[in-house]
Amino acid sequence: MPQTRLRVLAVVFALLFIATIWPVYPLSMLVSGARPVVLGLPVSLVYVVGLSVASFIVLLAYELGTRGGDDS
Amino acid sequence: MEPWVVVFLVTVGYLGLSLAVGLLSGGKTSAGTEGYVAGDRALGLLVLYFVMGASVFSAFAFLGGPGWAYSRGAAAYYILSYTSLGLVPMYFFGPRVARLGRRFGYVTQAELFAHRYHSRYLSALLALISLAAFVPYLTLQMQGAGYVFSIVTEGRMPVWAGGAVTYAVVLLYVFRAGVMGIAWTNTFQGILMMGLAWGLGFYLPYRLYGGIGPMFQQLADAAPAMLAAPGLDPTGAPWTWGGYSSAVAISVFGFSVWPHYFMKIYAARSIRTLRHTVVLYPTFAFFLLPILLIGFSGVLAFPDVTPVDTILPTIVTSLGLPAIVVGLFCAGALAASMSSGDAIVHAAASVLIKDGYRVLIQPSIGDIEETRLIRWTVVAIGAIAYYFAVASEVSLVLLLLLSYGFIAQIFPALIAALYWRRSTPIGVIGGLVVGCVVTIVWNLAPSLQWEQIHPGVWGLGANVLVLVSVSRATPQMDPAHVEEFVAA
Repeated sequence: MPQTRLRVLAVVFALLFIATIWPVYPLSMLVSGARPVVLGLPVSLVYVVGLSVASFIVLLAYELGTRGGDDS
Repeated sequence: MEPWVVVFLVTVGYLGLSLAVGLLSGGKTSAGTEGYVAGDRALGLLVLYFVMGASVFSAFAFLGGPGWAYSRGAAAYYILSYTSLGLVPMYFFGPRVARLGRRFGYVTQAELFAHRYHSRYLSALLALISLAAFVPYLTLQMQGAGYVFSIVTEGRMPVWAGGAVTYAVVLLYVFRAGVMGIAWTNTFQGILMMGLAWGLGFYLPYRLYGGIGPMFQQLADAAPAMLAAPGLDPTGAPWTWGGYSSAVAISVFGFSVWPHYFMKIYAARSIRTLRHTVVLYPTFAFFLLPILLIGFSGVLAFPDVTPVDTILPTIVTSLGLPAIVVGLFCAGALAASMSSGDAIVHAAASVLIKDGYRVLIQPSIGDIEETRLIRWTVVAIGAIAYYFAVASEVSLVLLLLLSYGFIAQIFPALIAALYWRRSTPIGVIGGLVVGCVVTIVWNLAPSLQWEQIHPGVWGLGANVLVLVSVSRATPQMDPAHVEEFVAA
């Protein structure tokens, strides 16, 4: 079971990685353009920062939820 | 007192403090290589977090990051992407490597490979690849330190002298205290850099534009191409998605296998400490965001600054800030250079002696003698990098480009060593050699490059192809031996 969870986590991170590059990032100018400015930042930057925050939260949640599978 | 003297004194004070922290950190570990190279596997979460974070926060990030945002706009976002994802692979393979390190006494990356594949040539090859990547990196850190001193003293102190003074301090504490000296100075330097990055990243847009929002509004009006991904290439033309995506990919694959990061797996107090360090690592990476904001703040306020990597010092020294603040900025820039340079010179010396000299020339060398040799090799490698920094005409940019491509070639070999039972020594060595050769050829022949895709990506493709096909064509290794690694 821990190995299955770890594999799911690996898939999630593979998807997050793909989201940072072609062809996902440029799919729409909605996320790769200079406008609109969201929270003071251009949306192209908000997208990258958002993915970085998401990857941090995913790994933190996994660690808190599973203790990583072992604590040696 | 003239402002430059105040700035100089603050900078020298920082150097003195770094030296004191580094020297006082020594003497708490055992006398052999496990103490000098791996800190007796006793680094806790706080120190490991700052060692990993401060090591990546090099002169490239502190001076080059703003330079990228200033000259290439959204292209600089790739730095954010790879730093937040780059250490994640270590969450998966790190615990396994740490367990193997404790069981078999490894302190370097190549020791794992050499044992897994029973190959001293693989050990020597990895030592060669590591050194080829480390020396240009270290050289650039020295040049960065020299430029800082030159700016601080308004040209009174030449670049060669600034680099010499800074790296004399680094070599002293690395020689004396090894990884513990690096760990505690990096903690001190990391806190200083974080404070400066967030402080300047928010202050400069407010000072120059009235806020971050107004800054980006004005930029979006005046230069929208700069803010739209994937930004611009070095000539100012739109960058290709191939260039942007491959830069992220090669950095993510290479990040966690850089030997000076990888070796810190062995230094962790426990596997839980290691995992928590990887989990918390993006919080350190987030402060590259204010670093990029600093670069963006210069686009409209300070046009045509060259070289672009001087945009941060140009802004700081042009705003009439108090001399103490400018001095702290200079200390931060030195901290960025030193916190990477110390880990690199320490890892390079450890790799050269443990994976090169001991394996090929003197296998019977004793532990204490080996540690003594590593200490003196720290000095020798520092001297070689210093020569390149001040006297050599060799193109460092080319070497640095090659180094990223080289290091990423280790990633498939690591995955094969830990997860693929069928991989063989010839397959791994063949993959590494072909991957590095393809990276070199694609770097030297611009006509082969397509869509500005990083040469290391082509190298990775060739590497995996050779690794898999040659492994399948050569005899399988002893299953019981392989199981020790794949099931660790």
